[in-house]
Amino acid sequence: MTPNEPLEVGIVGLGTRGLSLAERLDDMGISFVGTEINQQAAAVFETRFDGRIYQTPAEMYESDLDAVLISTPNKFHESAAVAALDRGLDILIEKPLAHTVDSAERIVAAARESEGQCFVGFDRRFSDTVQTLRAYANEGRFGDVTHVEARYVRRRGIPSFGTWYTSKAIAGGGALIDIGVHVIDLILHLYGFPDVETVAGTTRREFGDHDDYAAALNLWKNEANSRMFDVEDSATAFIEFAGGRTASIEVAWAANCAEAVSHRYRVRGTDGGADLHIPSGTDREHELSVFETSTSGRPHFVDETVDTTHRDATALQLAAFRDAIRTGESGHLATDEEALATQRVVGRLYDD
Amino acid sequence: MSEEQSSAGDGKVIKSVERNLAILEELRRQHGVGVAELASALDASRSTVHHHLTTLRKHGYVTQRDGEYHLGIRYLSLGGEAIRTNDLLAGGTHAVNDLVDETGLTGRIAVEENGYVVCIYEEPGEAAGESAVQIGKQVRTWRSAIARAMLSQLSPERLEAVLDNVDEAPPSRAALDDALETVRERGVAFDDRERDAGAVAAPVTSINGELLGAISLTGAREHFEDDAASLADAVSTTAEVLQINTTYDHWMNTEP
Repeated sequence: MTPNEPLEVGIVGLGTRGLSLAERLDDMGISFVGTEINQQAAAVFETRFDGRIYQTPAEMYESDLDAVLISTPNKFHESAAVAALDRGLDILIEKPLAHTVDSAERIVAAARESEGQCFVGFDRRFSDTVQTLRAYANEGRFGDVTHVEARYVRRRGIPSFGTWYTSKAIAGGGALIDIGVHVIDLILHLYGFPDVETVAGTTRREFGDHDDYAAALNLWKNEANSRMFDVEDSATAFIEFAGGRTASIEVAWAANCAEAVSHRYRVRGTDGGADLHIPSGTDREHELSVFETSTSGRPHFVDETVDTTHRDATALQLAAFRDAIRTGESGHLATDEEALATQRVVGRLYDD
Repeated sequence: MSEEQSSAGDGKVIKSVERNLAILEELRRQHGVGVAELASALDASRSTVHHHLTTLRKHGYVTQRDGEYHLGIRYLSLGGEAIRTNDLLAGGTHAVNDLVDETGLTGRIAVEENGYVVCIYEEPGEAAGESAVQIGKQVRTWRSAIARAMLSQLSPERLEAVLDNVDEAPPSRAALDDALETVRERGVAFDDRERDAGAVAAPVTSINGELLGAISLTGAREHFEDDAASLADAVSTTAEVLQINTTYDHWMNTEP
């Protein structure tokens, strides 16, 4: 495929995430079609984008597509992905790769047999602060990075209580597989995907069973009749990589803590360190601080704040996917093999 | 997904086929019956009944033991085929087996078609309070948990069709509406009969609201005195997972 040739992308799954992907494709001038089982969601897509709806993924794959975005519930990533890969289509699967390690391995196996490229939507990688931090680390500005302390903790943020998001059978897990995968991917991305040696940790369910989870705050549970909640709402983990580098991870959909959302990385190297704060949403500033020492004049600490632009990471990821479709260059996109490495860490923590 | 079917409607029917089916129903009800009894039950001549039985026997659909006629085992192959492609059965057996392992109670799946509610799957639990095998049986009372779960999701026309076919119908429309409203509020139905066994059931619908069937747990009454809420949670959670699995599996596997 040559640059600037118009693309046609098919979206499997037009829930909230699928629609937000469609919005960005629309902004980028990429034409798209979709398929969705929920008739109400399909109607929203048709109205909002005047978009063409196919009845099933199989029917959509028969049309003349260049690539596919998969944003179904986790359990169905595999069937949507494997059918697309069998047709040689390039695909971008929403994170996590799959609901279980076994399912993830089958997707990777299908990708190996396919002419299509397979990527996974770890879009946090594309924020300017993350890319800046990673470049500093690769240039050796911090010396050897030996430890990353990461947390992605929400005070009250269980997504769509009682929907597939909180079902082990459909999502594969809770906070860890939903937001923890971003954290694990960023750590592995920063370290350059070293071998994982030890994974220790624990998962907990402390809020899902509480009827007063939100009552005191006047928040609501979605769908009063919905009872699916058999996943963890928080996890704590310690990972040791080849060469003795380590990471500690704290993840929670709900925790009794000060901030509404705290998504931070503390990077410790032999010569310097950095703190990265990723705010929720695209409208607030990412913060990156760098901590060094200097012996110029008298020995002292140097603390620096880094100002970057604040672009939409999801849109940047879609732009990278567009380039990958045209050129076969994966850029910063998470490959299926990288996503499998993340999935395996999650699997070890679940002891699946 | 099963489409709503209209029953016979105003089309022409063949009398002898109707008589044939009446004979089969009678064989099912009586577990073995002679020609004379059949003739009087159906108000038909002995020779007519005899011709029907001879024809059925020739094709293996009726068998004769000790001078009495019984349904032939060959019907099982028709029954097996009738449920083989059922979407809820395909995804539901594992889910129901898991519920049975978890609770020790007996799990069942039932579906509604053409006004008949029929149990299509059963997994007996360790603590099963009743041993009667229900698979293949028509649910004939509106008071059972699985019937109520199903009725709570039916359109008025389909509801009427089912109630026409049960032995024990609700005393009044108001009693029915009240009972079904309670089921819709709770998301689950309990058995309303005075008996030693208790049951809890939940309807399974597709994401777009079509009724796929219902699942239930049945066991000794004491389980329901102590654990009704947690059993209800377990059944309704499974029904919700089945809704997603069944809808998506069907969608993903439909060839253009």
